[in-house]
Amino acid sequence: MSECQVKQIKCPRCHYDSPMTVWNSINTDIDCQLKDKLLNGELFKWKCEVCELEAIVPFSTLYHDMQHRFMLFFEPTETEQDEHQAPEVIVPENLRINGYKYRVVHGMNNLREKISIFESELNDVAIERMKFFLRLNRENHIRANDRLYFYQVETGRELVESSDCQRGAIVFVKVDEDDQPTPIAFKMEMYYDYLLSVEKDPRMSLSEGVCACIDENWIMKQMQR
Amino acid sequence: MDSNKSWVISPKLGFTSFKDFDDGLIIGFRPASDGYSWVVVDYHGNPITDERFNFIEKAGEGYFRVERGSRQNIMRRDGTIVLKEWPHRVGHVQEGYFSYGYTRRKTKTTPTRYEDGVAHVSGVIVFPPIFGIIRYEDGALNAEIDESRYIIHNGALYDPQERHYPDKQSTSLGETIEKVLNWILPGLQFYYRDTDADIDVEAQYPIGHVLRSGFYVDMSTKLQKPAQKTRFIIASAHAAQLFSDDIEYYKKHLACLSPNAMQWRHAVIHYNAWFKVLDIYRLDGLTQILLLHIPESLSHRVDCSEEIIRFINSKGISGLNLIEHARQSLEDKMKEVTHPRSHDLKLVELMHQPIGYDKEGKAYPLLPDLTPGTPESRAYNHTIHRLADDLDIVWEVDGFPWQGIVGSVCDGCIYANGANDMPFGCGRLFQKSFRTNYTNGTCQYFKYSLFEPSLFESLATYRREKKAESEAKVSGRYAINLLLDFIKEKLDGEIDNLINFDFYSLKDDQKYGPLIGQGSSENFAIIKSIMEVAFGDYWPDLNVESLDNCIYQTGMLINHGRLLGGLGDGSGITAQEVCGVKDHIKELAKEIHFLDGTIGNYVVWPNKGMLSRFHDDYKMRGYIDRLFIAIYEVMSNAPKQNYDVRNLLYKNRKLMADYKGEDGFRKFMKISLLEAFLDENGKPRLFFEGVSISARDFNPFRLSPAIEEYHAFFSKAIPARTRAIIALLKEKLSYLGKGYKR
Repeated sequence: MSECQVKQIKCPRCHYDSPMTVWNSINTDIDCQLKDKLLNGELFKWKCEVCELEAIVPFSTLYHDMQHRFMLFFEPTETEQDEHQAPEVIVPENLRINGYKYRVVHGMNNLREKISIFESELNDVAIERMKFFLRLNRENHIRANDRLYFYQVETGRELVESSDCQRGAIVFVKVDEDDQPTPIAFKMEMYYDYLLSVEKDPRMSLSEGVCACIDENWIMKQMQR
Repeated sequence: MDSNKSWVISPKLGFTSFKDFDDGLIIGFRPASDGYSWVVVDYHGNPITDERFNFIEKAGEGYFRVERGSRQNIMRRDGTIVLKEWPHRVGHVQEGYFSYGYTRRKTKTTPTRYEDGVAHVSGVIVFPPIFGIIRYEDGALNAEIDESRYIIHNGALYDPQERHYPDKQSTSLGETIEKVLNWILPGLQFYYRDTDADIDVEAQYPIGHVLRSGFYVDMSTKLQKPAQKTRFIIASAHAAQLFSDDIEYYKKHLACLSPNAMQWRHAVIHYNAWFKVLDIYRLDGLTQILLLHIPESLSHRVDCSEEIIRFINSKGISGLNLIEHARQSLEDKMKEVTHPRSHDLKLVELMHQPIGYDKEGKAYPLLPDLTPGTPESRAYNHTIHRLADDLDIVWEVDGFPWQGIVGSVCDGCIYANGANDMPFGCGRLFQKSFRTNYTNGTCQYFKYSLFEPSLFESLATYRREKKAESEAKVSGRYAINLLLDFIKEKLDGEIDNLINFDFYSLKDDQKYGPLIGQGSSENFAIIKSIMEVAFGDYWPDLNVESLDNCIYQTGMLINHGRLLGGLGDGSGITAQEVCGVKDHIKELAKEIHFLDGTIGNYVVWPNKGMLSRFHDDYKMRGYIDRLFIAIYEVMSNAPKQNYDVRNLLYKNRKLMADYKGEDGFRKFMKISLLEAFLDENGKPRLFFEGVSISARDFNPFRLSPAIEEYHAFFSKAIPARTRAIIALLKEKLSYLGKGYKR
């Protein structure tokens, strides 16, 4: 079940306090409308009851998806690319459930990506590894400042029959410096190759009960070990 | 030097050689006392980095492979090193990736291991060293983990058996048809085979009938008007053409298969090939039978023949379908004259038998003939398959890409029938190993017949024999037996004949000569055996096995290379000739060389640290007396010691436990029969002046006296020592002879 508390936010303009509902945890299976609000940013909107000033007030929360068996500890602030990797968090014993995935996620885009990865039943380490090598390969024309996010898996019958993507296609979105998104698709076989390499590479395994932040920084650190 | 003959890199910079000039940087060699003599410099001789290396070579894509001691690394063009930790080896750079590896030396419980990984020139460790040795084959990095092969590409792993892929979403009939058409159509052409054999066309070749060729079908790509009454016109994209327009290629690769191939335009289809009868056409008393070469699967696995034939028979650009093309062909050729090769009796005989039927007119079974053949027939079989590229279409069976037995590594193996044309194992292997070997294209369990050993069996036998031999070597049986055989076969049964036996004469001997290690005489099996029998009582665990394993080493007292130089075999001028050595001195040199090969010259050394060749350096100049003096100084704890010898003796301390101190030295010299090198006080003496033709201080006038001096000593010492060894051997053999059994 989702948990929330009401906090008073002091308006920066009129200095009167106005309430805001801060969600400590969001259970998407029970409160599915909260997921939409979280992903479109509505959950973080606050309005001053006196002067009607509107502002975005981000807060940390726990995102829990029971159907796909994962929990995300969401931090609204994005990490910089060259920022040092945050220490891994140990999941408290009372929160540990067998077969669950626990992750720390920074920033809205990363949250959307991580949810999309786990809802597609994919391995986020394999996705990050794939993104890392897609960047490394110059033929993909991904520049250093471009951001790359997993988008979805395409398995439409038309795609399968009209191309040689018989196991579907994996689609990423490349966001350039001008925030222009461009979808780029690869054969799903490529993802399975990276998944196999993650299974064989001992650096890619995560310890039991560890809640890691699996992102570009993490994979970069692992690949240099 | 540039085109104006002025120095671009001045000789003052001290470089003695350069290589790989072509890409703006040069690898240069500048001798350095510490051995780090290689640098990469620009065209003006400026090093791109301050670092120097033991060796540098190009590693591809503009990178350099650099070496420091036993470690290697990749260097970028700006002089920076790619890997932080230096591995034992790095491979060639391919598309930015390269393999690297470590050798883990064996321990008491584990054998030597080779662990390889892959890195990127950016410094990224793509894979840590989790693989066995990585090889670059077929344009990709191939690696193995737990006997499974993987291909490494762009930081990912691909399993050629595709076990890591889920099933495809759909495998429709349309896909099957596409696969079959892709097999039949690309490269489809007509081949001709004329025969006068008695054929009941209606009964034997009804239209739509599928048959298996049953024998190698010889054909020609070009015949004109038929000279025989029946013509098979075969539409195939998978015939092995045994001729080539490239004459050199033909002579090198194809002429051995068919010497007349160029003359006949000879092509062959395999005996495991399937045909569908498409048309019978009669014209002017001649019959033409049109056969379409189809993949094995279409003969019995799938039933989509109608759709395929309909597609193939659809009209092409010319407005004619395949059958119409075949008929048109006969009509056109009837207007031509008969080609001379239609009367070539050899070719006519080759083409006589009707396709799909034996000599009694009985149809061959449709299932493939997997009868094991001989190595020769298998080689021909595989060559035809390879030239024809006629493996069946790929089927997904249990997620495994399966192309049947025909043409695979299993074709011709006695265990192949056990597979029942499915990839679940064969008569010898379970599924996993079967699939691995099938995919890799090699199988060490392959057998032509029950009576011929497979590679696996041969290796097992070899290992068994090696183990038995090793046990025999440890127990001493090997050495005694070999020595007894040697006395009988080479010494006319008389051990005293050993005195003049030249062991160099055994250099090509399979029994007594070099079995393990370098081919020098110290490694001859008989020398090791004699050393064991004669000196085995004085050294812990001295036997042929421990000599093979280099725990001990046989060395030589005479080391004449630095004194005598070449002996003048007519191939060049020797040092003796240059120095004007007189003939009688040359004779002495030859005598020294002869003594070199007698048993008295060989001595056992403990080899945890290598003493046997230690005196063969620029300091001791190959003179053994200097080594004995150095050993004595260390063992007697003299104030002045050679620290290299001290280190070696320390490394050998366990083996030399019985030989410690000054007394230990004398004991060592005594049991090794080396007392001739000691003076009356039991101390080693300097016998030789130390002339070396390769030394800077070499004085040609001192060469002749030095040879005389060397000869005078060894002409007495070596025969005396030989006699002492013979006495030791006699004593040992007489003792063993009392109750010894082979």
